Amino acid sequence: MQILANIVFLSSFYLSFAVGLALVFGVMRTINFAHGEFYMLGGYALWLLTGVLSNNIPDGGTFIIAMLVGAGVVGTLGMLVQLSLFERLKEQPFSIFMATLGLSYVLQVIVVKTIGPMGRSVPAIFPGFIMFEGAILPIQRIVVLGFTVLMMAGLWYFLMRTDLGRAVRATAQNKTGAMLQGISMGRIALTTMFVGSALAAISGTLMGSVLMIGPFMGGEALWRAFIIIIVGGIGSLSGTVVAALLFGVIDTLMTAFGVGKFTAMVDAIIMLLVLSFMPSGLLGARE
Amino acid sequence: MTIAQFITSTPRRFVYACIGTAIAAPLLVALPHALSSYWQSVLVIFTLNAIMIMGYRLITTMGGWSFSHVATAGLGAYTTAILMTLEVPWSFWITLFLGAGIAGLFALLIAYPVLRTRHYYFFLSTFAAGEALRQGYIQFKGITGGGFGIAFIPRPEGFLGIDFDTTMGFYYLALTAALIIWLLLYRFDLSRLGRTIKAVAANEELSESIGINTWGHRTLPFVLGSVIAGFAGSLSANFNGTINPMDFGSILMFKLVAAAIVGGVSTFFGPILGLLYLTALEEAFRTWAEWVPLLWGASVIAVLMLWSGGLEMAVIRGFKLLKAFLLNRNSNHSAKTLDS
Repeated sequence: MQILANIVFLSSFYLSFAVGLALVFGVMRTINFAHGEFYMLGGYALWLLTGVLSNNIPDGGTFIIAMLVGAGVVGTLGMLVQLSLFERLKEQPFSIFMATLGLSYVLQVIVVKTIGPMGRSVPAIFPGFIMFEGAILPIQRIVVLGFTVLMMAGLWYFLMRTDLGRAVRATAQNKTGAMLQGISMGRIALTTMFVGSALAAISGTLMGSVLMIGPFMGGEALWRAFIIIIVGGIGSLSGTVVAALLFGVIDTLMTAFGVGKFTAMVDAIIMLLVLSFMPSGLLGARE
Repeated sequence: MTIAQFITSTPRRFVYACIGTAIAAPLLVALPHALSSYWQSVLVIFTLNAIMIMGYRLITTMGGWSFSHVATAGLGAYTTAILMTLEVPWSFWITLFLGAGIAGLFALLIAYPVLRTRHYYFFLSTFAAGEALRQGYIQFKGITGGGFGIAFIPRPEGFLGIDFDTTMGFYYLALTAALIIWLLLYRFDLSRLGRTIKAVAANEELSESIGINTWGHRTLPFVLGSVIAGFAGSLSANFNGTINPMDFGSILMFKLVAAAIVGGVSTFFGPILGLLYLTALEEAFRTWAEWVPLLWGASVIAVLMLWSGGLEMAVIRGFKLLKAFLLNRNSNHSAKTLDS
């Protein structure tokens, strides 16, 4: 039971982090290397706001405000990146990729110089735990899981039930076709970057409440997200869900059986095997 | 083969390169005499990184930008470190070539899956593979010393009157290796094989349709580049005397990638020029070391957005302008982007 709970917690984290990356790739056809730093900024939004607001409003409120503020600020940052970098390097996905790699170091250094290289943690907002069928479930983790589900539901609603979301999906499926239908590419790119970056920030705020917040937390999460989106099939949202679940199961089981320190290697080997036999990933379409 | 035969049977540019190297070598040999001991170590590290980036440039000729290069170099470094700190230490020269071989073997093993990916997918998959390898350095504590790494790696015993225990002596070892690798790789670059590799990178389907083994021509540079990385890693473990997994982390990898972008990779000298620029930046801001990654990152963004082609294009344009000025001719040279 404890293992099952851990699988759910870990998978939801992998998913919340990787889904923004997969969404941006689906539409922009490029990888935003600074995604990890956007996630890190979301974590710092929680830390900063906890310091400012904790005396005035209840902690739950701070948590929600941090999520909204983080998403808004980082989403805007994503739109700025779209306007300044992506727009100017249009049709050169590899250059964009390299430029965001540079950007990720720029953001890391800025955070190190303004806030400091030390890891920070915020006190538990929802302390305590509940026992269920012999498993210990920290309430904080359950709240994080709840918000992750809410975030995924919101994304699903946006993509499936709104006109803008449909336009984003149309662009991901067929760019020329979408353009012929009068969809503005600039607007879709801005929307996607906003949503993708905001997802990273929300994921960072959520995880910041249970993990250590530090300038390099993004890089650590990013390479596993790469493995997840490669195995799931780059750009495929459903593939990302499947792969996040798969690695949630594998990593939790390995930790439970005491070989947790080898998860990084095993995950990479699984990725290499998937690439060997299914180069476009589990659910990815062949380009 | 007589010298006359050598000159007529090899590409003219390679002969020029040999002459240029022969002229530059005494200057490079004399260089450390004019430097303080701090700058001598900077020079040695630069030379070792230059070897590493020559291998990296070889990989990029097949169209893929690997992110596992530094982790692969770690295989060479750990081979040397482990075998030279045994109770009965191995000879450095054996570990040097063994380490390079092991790095090449690792590249060959991961070549099959990762070479199925192209462009940034290749970057992502090598990134994950390299990071897993680095995790291996941390986790297999019994062999690699875990996070603390391995210390007290001895330098090789000297010969020909050169003492490798001194920084200057080691510089000569690194310089010799760098010059040999430089000439070999330059010759390789001009050879039919080297040009075929670039043709495969430029258009894989077309190359395949005229009967070129595209798979082999993409695997070969990847493996050879990794062998050179292992070689450089082994030398650097020996120079520093101590290694730990942090030495093979993403910051050095980023330095190599940034050097390749700032300098450009379409010429042989481009990445080395880029490395020179980044090293100069690093040393100029030595007292503000924490800002260095930001400056590197900003340089990469600036080159990509404002100055496509990088430093090598500036040199080529300058050279062409000079030529046009001397010969009174017009010349045009269009810049290449990374994606073309």
